[in-house]
Amino acid sequence: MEDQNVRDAIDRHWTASADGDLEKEHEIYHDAAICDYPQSGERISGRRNIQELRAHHPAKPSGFQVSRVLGRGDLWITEYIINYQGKPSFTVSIMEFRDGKVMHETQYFADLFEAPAWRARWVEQIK
Amino acid sequence: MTDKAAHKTRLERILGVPLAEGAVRQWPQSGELIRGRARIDEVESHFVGLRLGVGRRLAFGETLVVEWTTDYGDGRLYRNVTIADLRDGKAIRVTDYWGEPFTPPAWRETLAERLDMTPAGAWPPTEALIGD
Repeated sequence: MEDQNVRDAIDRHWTASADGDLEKEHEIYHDAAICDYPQSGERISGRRNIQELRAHHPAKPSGFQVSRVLGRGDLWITEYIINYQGKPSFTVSIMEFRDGKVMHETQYFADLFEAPAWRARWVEQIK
Repeated sequence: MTDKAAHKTRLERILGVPLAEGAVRQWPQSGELIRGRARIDEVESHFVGLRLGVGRRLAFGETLVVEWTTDYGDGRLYRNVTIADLRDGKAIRVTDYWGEPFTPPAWRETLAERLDMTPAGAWPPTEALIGD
């Protein structure tokens, strides 16, 4: 599968996710895909279960923005921001493809925190 | 080689590649940016007693992604991911995301299995971390 085709599939996936179109969002997954959440030590097995989990997520996002998509071949990374009740959650998705579908996804969720004062002298603000 | 030349920053140990002298490290969660290898090293030196484990390094083109784990001393394991942009084999821009641990939500317990976390895997357990 050409990189551009994968990239197009990833773009469709995130657009559908932002639009709340669950069926289209999950077209990217292999039926036997797994999705790992290392921060909670959870693994979701199978496209149906991944979709089911997202369908029942109690927190409905109020915003969604893709910052960067990087990848080549069967390995693709997306940095994006999901807004829950006005609070951004920085998210990283690592997708490993097989035969043009995602076989393994790992997601990291990183919440806002206040920059500590002790290191202010060495630090700038991201513009 | 002098001690100074041999010195590696913690970030270099995590990445497995050197930082360019002018490397930029950014932390989107706090909106902070550190400019230069020397300042990156300085800020890191204020975190003492932490233990870490590098899980998986993924590389493609001029990109390096590292999944790694930190215990800052309270026993809670942060599952972090760091993305480095490379040029000529050195990291020129690094973005870190700090993944605080959270309790698996009860509402999805019928859909989730326990993720196997082995010492040699992407997410090393506490006993596999090394003081840094």
